[in-house]
Amino acid sequence: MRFTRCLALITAMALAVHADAFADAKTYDLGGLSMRDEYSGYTDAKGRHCLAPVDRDPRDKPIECPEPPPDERTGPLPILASIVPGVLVHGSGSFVAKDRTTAKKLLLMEGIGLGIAAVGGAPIVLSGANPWASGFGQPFVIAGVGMFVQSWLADIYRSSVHTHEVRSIPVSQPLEHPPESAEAGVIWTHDAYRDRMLWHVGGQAVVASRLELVANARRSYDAAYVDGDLQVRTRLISPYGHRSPGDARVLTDGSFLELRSTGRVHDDSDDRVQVATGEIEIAGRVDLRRLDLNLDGSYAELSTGLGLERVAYTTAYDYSSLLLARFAWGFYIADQGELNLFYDHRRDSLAGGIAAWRAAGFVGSVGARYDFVRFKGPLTLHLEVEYGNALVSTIGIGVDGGPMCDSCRNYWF
Amino acid sequence: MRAAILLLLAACTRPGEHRADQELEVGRAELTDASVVVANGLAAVREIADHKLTLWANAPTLDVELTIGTTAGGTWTVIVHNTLLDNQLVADGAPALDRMGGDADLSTTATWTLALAPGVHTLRVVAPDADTAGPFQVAAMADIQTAMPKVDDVFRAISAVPNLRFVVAMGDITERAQDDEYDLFERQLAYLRVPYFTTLGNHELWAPADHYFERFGRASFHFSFKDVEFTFADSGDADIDPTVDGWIKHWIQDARTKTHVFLTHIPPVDPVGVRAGGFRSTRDGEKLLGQLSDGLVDLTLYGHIHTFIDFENAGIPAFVSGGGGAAPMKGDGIERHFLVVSFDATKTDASRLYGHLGRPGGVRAVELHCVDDCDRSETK
Repeated sequence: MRFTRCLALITAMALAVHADAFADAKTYDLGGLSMRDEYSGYTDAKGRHCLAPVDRDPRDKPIECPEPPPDERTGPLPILASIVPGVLVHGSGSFVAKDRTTAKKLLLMEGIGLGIAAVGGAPIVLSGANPWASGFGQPFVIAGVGMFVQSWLADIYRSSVHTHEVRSIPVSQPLEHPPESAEAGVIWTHDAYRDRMLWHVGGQAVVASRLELVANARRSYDAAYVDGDLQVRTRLISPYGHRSPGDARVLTDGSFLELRSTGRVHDDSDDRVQVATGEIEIAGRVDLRRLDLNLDGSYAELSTGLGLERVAYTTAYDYSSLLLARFAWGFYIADQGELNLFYDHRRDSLAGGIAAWRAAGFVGSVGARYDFVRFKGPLTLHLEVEYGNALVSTIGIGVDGGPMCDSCRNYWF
Repeated sequence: MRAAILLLLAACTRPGEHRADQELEVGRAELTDASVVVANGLAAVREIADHKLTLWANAPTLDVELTIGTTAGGTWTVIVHNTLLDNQLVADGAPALDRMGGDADLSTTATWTLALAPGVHTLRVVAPDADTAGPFQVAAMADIQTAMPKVDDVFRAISAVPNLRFVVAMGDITERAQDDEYDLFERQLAYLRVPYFTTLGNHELWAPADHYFERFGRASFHFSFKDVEFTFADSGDADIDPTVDGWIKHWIQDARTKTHVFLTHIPPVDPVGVRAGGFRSTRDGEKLLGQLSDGLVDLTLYGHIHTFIDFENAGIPAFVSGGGGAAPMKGDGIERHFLVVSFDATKTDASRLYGHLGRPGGVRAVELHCVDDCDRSETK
């Protein structure tokens, strides 16, 4: 009961944060009316009509306009159906909306997810959590559970946010990755032992068409805690585009697959522990319009990898391994940014793992992240809340494209 | 509204807080005309009734304060379950009383009768050698759970080891913390000839923890026997609550110059990190290990993972012994097992466990005993 209550509170918190964000950010709405100037009528290869960004890059794939069923049902009923019985039978919302094609695909995605989780879980259970079986099985379990959750959330999205009226306008498209950016912010952590405010600075730079560097550093206000990380991301699928700094070009597909190599250190003088971690991880995102055009604007992410940790105590040190696994589901908001909900399996982060009753110790953290890329001129806004062993809240203000980009100059001068 | 939500969320980060508060009530009970307080909550008060006190000990030595009102004086019967075979009762500093039945009664339940006038009485249940440093051995085990119906095999094997004084256990007695499981456990303990001192595991939290506390006493406690310090900590939620952490710091500080064993159910950091069998926050696990290491703890014993692992954490020798019978790990060459740990606090030379660090210690050896066939044999 305590866990359920906590989850309900987390949800309420996330909704409150995002309700505020929506209220503050008047420049976008899901109907896309504020974006009309940037769109014009478009007819795709199949003769279907919709709106498309006027400044589309000719190198982009042609847009496919979604074709809603002529007798589509809208309103609260599909939304309710997507929740009950949708939590168990994914696609129920789409089915009630008379979009049976999407419903079947989401049900299939749920089944595949459960199957993958079973394939991963069986060796863990049958071997009594033998480390080899656990190492093999856990990524499958998390990927399978991820697909299960993603197909459910996608159905809720299909049944609510993405009704026919909105879907006919392709307002929810990804923005191209900035060539460089920097962010400064504040992180507040609360757990059983620590109430800390951390200053955070970070940045990224695309240094080649497939190579990006990302760095972050955090320091508590009393300097008792400092950490830093440096990550190299190599795009295996979907290289970074070449665009002018500050010109956040709208893409028709945000899917990617990349390899991430990371080095991290943290020094906690209160805990008298210093930790150095090396990680390698493969991460991917797929825009769900690839699965079904009626899921246009939403996406799913999965990642997994391994880490090696060296923990230094006052008089001794230990080595340990680390399984990395994460899944997320999210959607693009009116070419302004994106919101995603995620599960992160790692327990060595600031958030740690949820005290999930019988599964405490095994389960990681959940969270929501909102990136408002076109916050104000070149400025970006990053809001994040994560709940595990700790409650971690983040607010960051960033600059997209570097200080000398065209749009920045227009904004500042 | 936002502030209220944040406050409630903050409460979600301490699932063990209420349990830690409950522990402070263990070992206390009162009637209209009598009350009892067991020092440090080292026994559960099973019954305090008309001229009768029944305790379930969770430590070798008990210090009990029994307050008797004007109408309750007379001959009292004191029954202590789960106690050392040679324990005696010392009342108000008087000569020790042997248990009723004498040497013929070699069970872990001891009964004494004594005359007590109205007033405050101090009772001490103690073995003659409890406060004298010297060699002794204990068994260590964890994770019985679904194997409860056949755990008598393990208890018989432990009982066959000569000269053991007691068993220390790292939790997960039951699968679902149901009363019938606890009843069966107590019946199975009849096959064990020494007392069983334990903390709880995550499986004891499938039902409200007061079921456990009322039967077996505290989950986080500390006792000393023959100059060796034993600290048990409740990690049933895969973390240590700050209240318990405060107790641990105090116990570590007091035991800094002594041989000290730390026991908890879930390893703070799983020696095989990808398995995720450690604390829910690796940072909290590392924080605890740092404290234990700085406090010169000599040995850490864990359960939760259903195998045997001999490793080191933060420089401290560590063992996972989850061989009580619950769903054993496959492919590790070992099933049901227990450890026999030898101590001698009079030794000031580098112990075998700490030989490589040149650190003196009273932990002399840790020996693996298999109950079922196994292809591992280890003595350290």
